[in-house]
Amino acid sequence: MSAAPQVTLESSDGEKFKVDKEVAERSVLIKNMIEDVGESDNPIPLPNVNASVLKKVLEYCEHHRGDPLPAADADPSNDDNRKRATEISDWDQKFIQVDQEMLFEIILAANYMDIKPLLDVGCKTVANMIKGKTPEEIRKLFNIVNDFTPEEEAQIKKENEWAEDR
Amino acid sequence: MVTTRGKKIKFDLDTSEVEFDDERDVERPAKPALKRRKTKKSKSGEEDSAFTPGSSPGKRKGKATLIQNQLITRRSGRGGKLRDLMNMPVDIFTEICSYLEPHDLRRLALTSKRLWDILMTKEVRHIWKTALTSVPDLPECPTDLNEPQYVCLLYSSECYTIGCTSRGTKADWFHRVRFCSTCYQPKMTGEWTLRHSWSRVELGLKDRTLSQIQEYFNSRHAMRSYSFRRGYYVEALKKAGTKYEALSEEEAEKYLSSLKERREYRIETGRAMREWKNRQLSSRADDIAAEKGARLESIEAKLLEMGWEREDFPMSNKEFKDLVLKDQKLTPKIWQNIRWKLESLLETSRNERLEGEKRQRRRNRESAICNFYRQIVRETMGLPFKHSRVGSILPAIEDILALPSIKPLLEADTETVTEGQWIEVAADVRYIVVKWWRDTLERLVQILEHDTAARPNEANNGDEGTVNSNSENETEEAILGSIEALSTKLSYATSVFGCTDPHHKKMFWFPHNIKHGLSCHSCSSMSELLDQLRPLDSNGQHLVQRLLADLELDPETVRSSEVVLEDQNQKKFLCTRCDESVARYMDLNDLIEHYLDHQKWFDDVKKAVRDSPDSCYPFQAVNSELPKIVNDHDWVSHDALLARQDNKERKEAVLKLQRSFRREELTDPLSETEGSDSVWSMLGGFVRRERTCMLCPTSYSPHPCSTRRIELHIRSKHDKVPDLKNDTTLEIFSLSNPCPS
Repeated sequence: MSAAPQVTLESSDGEKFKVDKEVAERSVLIKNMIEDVGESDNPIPLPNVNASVLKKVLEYCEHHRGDPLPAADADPSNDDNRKRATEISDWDQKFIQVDQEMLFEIILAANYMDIKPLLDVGCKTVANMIKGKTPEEIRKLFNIVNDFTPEEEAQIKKENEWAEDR
Repeated sequence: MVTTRGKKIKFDLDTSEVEFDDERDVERPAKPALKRRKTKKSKSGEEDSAFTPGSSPGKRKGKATLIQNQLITRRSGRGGKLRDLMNMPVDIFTEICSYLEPHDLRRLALTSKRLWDILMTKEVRHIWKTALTSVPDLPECPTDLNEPQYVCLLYSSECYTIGCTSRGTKADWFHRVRFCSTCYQPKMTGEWTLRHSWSRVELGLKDRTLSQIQEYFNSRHAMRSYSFRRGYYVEALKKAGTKYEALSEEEAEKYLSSLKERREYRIETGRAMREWKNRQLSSRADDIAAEKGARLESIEAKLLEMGWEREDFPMSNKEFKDLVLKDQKLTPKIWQNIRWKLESLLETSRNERLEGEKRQRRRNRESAICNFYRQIVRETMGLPFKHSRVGSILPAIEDILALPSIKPLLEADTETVTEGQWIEVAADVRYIVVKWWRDTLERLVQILEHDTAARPNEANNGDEGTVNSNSENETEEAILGSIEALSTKLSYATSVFGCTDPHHKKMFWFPHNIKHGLSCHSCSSMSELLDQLRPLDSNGQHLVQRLLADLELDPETVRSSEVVLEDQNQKKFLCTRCDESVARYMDLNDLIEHYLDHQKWFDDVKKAVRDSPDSCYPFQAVNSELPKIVNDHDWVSHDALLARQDNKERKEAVLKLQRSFRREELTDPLSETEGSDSVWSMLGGFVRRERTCMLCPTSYSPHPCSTRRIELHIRSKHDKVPDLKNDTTLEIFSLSNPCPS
């Protein structure tokens, strides 16, 4: 029985990761690159993803290697059901329990590498962090500075006009 | 990028500018309400999939790359997590937003100007729409509101008045506004107010205008919402009125029909909103209750598992309730946070409970001891009556509880004191009780023997429960023996006690004197009770001796129970000093009182005559000879019998005589001249013709009575043959008269 084909990925800090092709192809970006360039022993550079994040992303891909890939032409904005489903599976929940910096890095990496399910998990996690919180609590959570003057805040709160209609 | 909507937004904190890069034509705001951003048309054809996270702007070669690669850049000055969220490409940011619920979106937008600006553009309207469609059963956003306004109306509880921070608001679904109770009054007006010209002047509208448009603005009628007393939103009315007045007649007609359509639409959508909101509130209330219940259940389960008991849960403690009954799921983190607080409260509660139970057990033991003690007292006293207040005259329970033998019983932490435990210590208590009872009886005997110096409250400072230390070595048998002797002494018919209160019965025998003290004087201690009792004076004692002798009873041996009868119908002694036709059968008690009353009347009359001989006889001439008054019940100087005990036949004969006397007394011997005794008065009521004795001083004559009776009175009290015309007057009423006749 022949071994599964493998590809080498190179992180921004030069670390190389040898993974099964099937796992690497969870990323649409890598899949397209392999298709465009063809199979080669040269490592695939991922200049926007550092080693620690890439390791985490590959852990996700490894776990979900057998999952069906999402349709490439699916328009997420029209998929209401997807929006509703903010529940995250147990494994994913455990996987995404990282510090906020890493969480955002994973989201950015998932976005860059075009791994839609991972991006969804990241976005849902951030959304769940925001849910049910008051503006003040959200500010505290994300260290956002309230730059409204009290008058401005009172004004906008009542008007709720689109920026274009003001 | 996973999602691209053909638009990128660049934030720049250094310049406070945001750039819109849009492939489509975007309508730019004409008058920015806040410090606004500059907007630019996007550079078409730029790749937005070339985003490079982590790269700094300085490393880019040109503006195009900068815009492409760093869609949102933030100054790193403030650092921290802010950078992470705000550095997100806008598409990821909107992706995150698309998972939020409407209210969360609004709250996120309110966190900063920048987020407000992002979320309050029509470009991201789809996020709001998605959020709204994700809410089950939510009516579609009405066309007269934008999505954020709709979300604000539905979810926010803030007052719509600028500057007002009140949150207790009510929504007017028709006018799409929310006001607190303070702002409601100036902002809304009612039909009654609008009828007055001053209010119209205030609105600045013509009467005709108001009458034309008014009906389209009454939310009260439109929504049938009578919880609001005012249905007109002043601002809307003013705006519409001003617009209406500026229109030509034809346009005004059209405007009115548009107002009518607007009204219908608002009613329809407003009702839908109201119903949804009501459903939400009701469902939320259920959810809260369920969440609270679930949290309580989980906390209870955990606490029980930890060994706490349900009785320890201080559900009346506010702090505990606030921690337990919260509409927040109990997560392991929350549990860790609240656990120590709960345990501290439970510890306090458990200690209080255990302390309370301990106190209760002690009270139970005290109560049991008290009951056993009272039982001993009742057995010792042997009183013939059952009175719940007997306990009030007992020696103080504190003294009993302080006994060395009782103390261990009290301090042992048992549920109660059993009979077996009590038997072991009963002897000590019985000894105290018999001594106390002996002392009490001794004092009663002292009262009888006129030994006032030894009265309890004077001799022993009223502390009848204390044990006399001099007699410490007496045996119980000796004490019981003296109790018997004292009881015998008190049981004689000659052992009469008098009551100090003139309103009560005057004579008592032991133990009825105790009953009297408890029931009539409400005495709370034996000393108080004894203080109410007085012995008869020597004259009274002589009377008792004489009465008993006349009744052929031996004063040395006869017991009070033989002559003082409880049953009133069995009275058997007749007063021999009264005329037989009116004399009463009495028991010894009544006989003594009868003689004492007559003596008192005689003494009072003599005193009245002595003090004012003329004024007490208004019909007598000054210095004329005063009528003679005799004491027919004098038991001291006359030797005649005071009373007699009749046998059955003799008693019947006396009663027959008395019955015929009562029949006779209905006839007045002077009836030929003055009519019969009973007549109808001129006032219409039935009155008796009655006579008053003129030989007695004023107010000492007997109550107006029949001629026969007044004759008897004159014979017995004045010792003369009655002359009814001169000695009596005919009267209808006579009030005060203490004469016992």
